[in-house]
Amino acid sequence: METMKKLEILTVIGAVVILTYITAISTVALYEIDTPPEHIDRIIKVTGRQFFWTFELPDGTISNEVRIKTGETILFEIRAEDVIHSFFLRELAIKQDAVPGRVTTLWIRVDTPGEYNILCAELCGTGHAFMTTKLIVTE
Amino acid sequence: MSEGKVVTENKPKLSTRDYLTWLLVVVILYVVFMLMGLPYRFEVVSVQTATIVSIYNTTYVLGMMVSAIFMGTLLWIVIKFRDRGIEN
Repeated sequence: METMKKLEILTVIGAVVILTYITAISTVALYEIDTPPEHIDRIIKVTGRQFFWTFELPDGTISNEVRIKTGETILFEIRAEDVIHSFFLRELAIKQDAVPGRVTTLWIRVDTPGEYNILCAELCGTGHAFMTTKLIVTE
Repeated sequence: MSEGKVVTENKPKLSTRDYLTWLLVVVILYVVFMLMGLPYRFEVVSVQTATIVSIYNTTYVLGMMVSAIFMGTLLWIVIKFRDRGIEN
């Protein structure tokens, strides 16, 4: 077989192997990220409205920012009142759509204390850019 | 020329230097892609972030490998086999 043919086949096989590997590790990682652990410390209800987020804690308290402790496993139940929003925890590199009429979930467990930005990652109207708040993690 | 015979005289033959240049273009492109994308700094604050950053880095390193081979080859072919006009 001539060299060019060998190179061509090698390139195709190499690309297939690499892309299959990426698919496999991504699928496993996505499953890990999406599946909440069995033990959940708190469930916080999140509601997205034009143009702010509200958080309802298990004791009924409603707030515009959310405070949690390090190592605490939180499950967010995300809703939208008007249009589609996206609950985006920027520093955690994780987000979940908030869709009217549906409840979506997202779990987190933060190990480092600090203030993290919560944004809307779905263009939802004129005030979209200002639809921000904070996730405050304390020890 | 007899019928059915494949003409191979005009087929360009690549020298060792050509293969090395080709490889060099691919490697340079890969290094450029790495410098562009890998300084992606993300403080790992949660278990999920660690997984996401790890997936990002792995995907980037491997994806850019495929991309560098494809784009580097394209670039090298365009320059190597460019139309040089009529040679006398």
